[in-house]
Amino acid sequence: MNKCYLLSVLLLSGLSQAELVGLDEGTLENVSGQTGIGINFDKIISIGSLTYSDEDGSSGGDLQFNDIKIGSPTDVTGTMAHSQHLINVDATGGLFIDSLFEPTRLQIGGISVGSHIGSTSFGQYIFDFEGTNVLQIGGATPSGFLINSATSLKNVDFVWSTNGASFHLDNLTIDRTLTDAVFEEKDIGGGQTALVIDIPNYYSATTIGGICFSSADCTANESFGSFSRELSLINSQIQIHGGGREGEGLTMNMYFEFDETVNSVGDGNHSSYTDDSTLKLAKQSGNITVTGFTFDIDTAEAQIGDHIAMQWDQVKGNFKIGSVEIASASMGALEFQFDFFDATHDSVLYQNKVLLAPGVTYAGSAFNTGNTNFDAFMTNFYSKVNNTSDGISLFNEWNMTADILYTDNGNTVVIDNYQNYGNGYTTLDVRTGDLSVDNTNDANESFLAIGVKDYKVHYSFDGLKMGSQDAQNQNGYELLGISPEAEFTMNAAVEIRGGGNVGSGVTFDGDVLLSDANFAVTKTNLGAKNVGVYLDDASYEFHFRDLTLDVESEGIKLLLGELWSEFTIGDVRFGDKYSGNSLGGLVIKHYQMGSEVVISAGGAAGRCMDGLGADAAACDTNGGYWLDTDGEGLTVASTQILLERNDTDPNNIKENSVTYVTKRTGADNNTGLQMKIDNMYTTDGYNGTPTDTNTYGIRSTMSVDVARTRVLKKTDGADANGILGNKGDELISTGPGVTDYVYAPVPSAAQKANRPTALILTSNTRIKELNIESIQLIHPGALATPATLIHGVSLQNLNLSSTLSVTPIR
Amino acid sequence: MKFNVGLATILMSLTLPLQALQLITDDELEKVTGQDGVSLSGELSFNEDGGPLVDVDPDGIGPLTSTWGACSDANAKRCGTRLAVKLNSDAGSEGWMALDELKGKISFDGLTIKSREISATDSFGGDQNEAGIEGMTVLEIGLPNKIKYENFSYNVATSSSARPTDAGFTQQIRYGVDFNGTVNMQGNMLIFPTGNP
Repeated sequence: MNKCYLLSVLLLSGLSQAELVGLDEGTLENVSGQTGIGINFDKIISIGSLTYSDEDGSSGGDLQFNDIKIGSPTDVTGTMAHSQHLINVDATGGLFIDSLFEPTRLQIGGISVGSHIGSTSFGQYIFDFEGTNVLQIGGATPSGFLINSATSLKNVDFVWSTNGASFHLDNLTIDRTLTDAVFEEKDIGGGQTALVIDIPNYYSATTIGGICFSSADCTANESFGSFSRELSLINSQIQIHGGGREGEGLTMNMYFEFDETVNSVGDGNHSSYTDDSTLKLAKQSGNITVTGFTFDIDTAEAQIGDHIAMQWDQVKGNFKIGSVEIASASMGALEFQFDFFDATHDSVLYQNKVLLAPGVTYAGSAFNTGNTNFDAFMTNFYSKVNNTSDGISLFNEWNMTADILYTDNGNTVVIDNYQNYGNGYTTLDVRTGDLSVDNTNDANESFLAIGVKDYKVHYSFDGLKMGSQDAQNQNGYELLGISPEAEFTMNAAVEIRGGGNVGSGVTFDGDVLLSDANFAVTKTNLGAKNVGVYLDDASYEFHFRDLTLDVESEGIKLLLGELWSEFTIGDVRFGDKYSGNSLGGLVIKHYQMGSEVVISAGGAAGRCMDGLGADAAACDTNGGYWLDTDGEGLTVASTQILLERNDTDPNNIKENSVTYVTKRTGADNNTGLQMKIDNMYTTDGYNGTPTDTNTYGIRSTMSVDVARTRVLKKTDGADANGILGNKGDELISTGPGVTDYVYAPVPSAAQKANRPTALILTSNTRIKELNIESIQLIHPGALATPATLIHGVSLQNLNLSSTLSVTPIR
Repeated sequence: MKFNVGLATILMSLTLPLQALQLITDDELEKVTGQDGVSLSGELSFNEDGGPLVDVDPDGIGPLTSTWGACSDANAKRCGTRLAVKLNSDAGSEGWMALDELKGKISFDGLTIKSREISATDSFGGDQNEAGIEGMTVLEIGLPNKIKYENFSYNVATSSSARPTDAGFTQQIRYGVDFNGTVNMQGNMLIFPTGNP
């Protein structure tokens, strides 16, 4: 991101200088040389191909840009683009180049690599712009060049096209200011010299008017929405030297530091996405160190062939978002303390790299994940393109660790020691609407097609810490439905369209399979090992159609369209994740239509627990304790409309059911005894004509806050951390550490202000009617028909509210 | 395979405090990172002022009587949660068992949940060997010290149909419970698999 901004400045600088060559008579007439030289430059430029090569006989290859054209956006080959440049040399300031660009188009007919050249490309690219650039180049002290630059572009458009369809970043504005940067060749140690660019100050601002899948201007109903970004950097540096990871190439080391001073006013460093309302990541700060970034052209990757290879030895830093705002309300602050580095897991080395190749690698391929039902979806998705289709195929591998801190009203919860590693293949291309896997979609609406092949993902975190990174680890993620440790292989086919439920937004259709999966439900660290409850040998297949995402005044709104899924769990294990004792297997099927999820900022209202009182003082007087959850926080509201079984397609039966399987021979579910909770569905609770209505579903609201709470000691004597107290004493924090607390029999007002930090979960679930058609006992092979245990269940009029304070076991 | 819920409640609660009284050394404190698990305190409230089912006002001037409504609505016959189960098929005897008019509040302090490996030094008063759980991982649910009930009530009934709004609906209440007060609890509940999965 940051390097791109700087490179764009350098590129513009280079363009300005390049244009000093070849003055025609027209431009010479415009030279007015009192204080320098003025140049008018009208141009139509056409370049057949431009090739970058790091081929050195033993490694490397070619990167080729074909059919490059520069001219006016109205007719890039027939109308000249005009620019004007004023050049001056000052005795103290150095060289000044003041440029004005009238509407100009840079067009690339194709970009390809190695053996792909001539057959497939990354697609076609158009970059339209107009604006100004001021470049000052002087001498730095004691050596090197001192460069100041200010670039301001408007009416910028970027179009990426493949297979006759286009992805369009519409109506951008781009402003960049580089202040007192020093470019110098320096010794960077290890006998290596590099071009070192010291950047004391850098400012960038970008806005994107719309994003859509059309080469024409984006309209509201087909646009994702608009974006804006502002960033100020200080004390940053880029080092560039020759030589890649293998032979020739390019290597860079970089350090970027956010300027926090700009965060004192307004949004400061921020990114925002605006639909009907705005999602904003405001007041960003932190720093990032990139070590050993290399750029090479490489050959013969097993799946994608010749490719561009980008790799990082290490990317380390912290990134803090001071305020995450949804529809003008803040949910609090987020901080990521991350480290991407090479590491070996199960004898496999995982590095941080991206390999890019042109074309759609799996076009026309038949899939064989072992799940024949799902394979049909993937095969159909890739049958829409062929081996000459343009697109991007990539292999991605990563290994990282992080602590993730969420702060709500000054109270922090830490996701501790998050680790993630894996690798896999992805393809990206833009397709015309008639190639959609869902023939109910508009055939005239192009879309982005994302295919995922054998993406092997492993992640884990140790637990949650309340208050600080020094606090005691605890569970509690289970209550949020988050697995603390998982591994799976993902295959997926997803289509993304512009436009949401109303106006701008995003629409998704997709088919996803997580196979060879193991998910932890809960776990405890016993030092050398973890024990817990794990869902082993699992497979989760899910499908979604017409799922829309909008940011509205009520929050981030997901209308889920049609959803159906099957979650098959081979063994529910207690103990070790692979070999613990098994409870048996589970098959869980979901089928929903018209469900929705709304994510909003702000938690639950403050309230009195274990007593009565409208405020903290009254609550305390009444013997209760006050949960101060007002203000920041996160609330997720959902509506799940469960439909009755749909068996119109016998090969794709959709239903809501849970089947528990046990007493199997081997791992074959068809050999065991099954208990099936069959055909669950919601209705609105009254007899309808001709059928009951089903619009209410299961409505849930869950608010997540971090706040101080009351914790009472359960037993007399020392607790698990060796802190003494009696049963019923109240725990009072004295510091951030694991043992920084005391037990107070009768806490003072000052002590009550130091009650421990807890995760506060406030939920409400409402159901008008939930039905279960039957509960069956099934004996495959023994009985021809299931034995019905229960002939019907009806749950009506449930309104369940709960408040839970989640703290460590001490 | 059976799904066993092992209860080693009171005996275990007696032994844990005694063990906890022993001093913990510095070396042992260094190992404390593996506590994990979670302690929960809070409250559950059923149908505090009714549920989402509210009968439509038949004439627009307010119903004289209705089946479903808010608990504060004197005209509403019912406002609690209803769970009806049909044990027999239509071909046999008709009828539903119902847990009806469930409402009220339950609050608790110190419910704990964690995965735990049962070792040879853990004592369950002999139950450990009987259950054959030594070396096994169990899901340990530590019962809260107290559970407080406020206006917690329900009826157990037999009904002619699942929905009380069905034509010809009849219901016979077998017994009702109305619970206020505090229950003190000790001990743990252990959940673990046994048998052939």
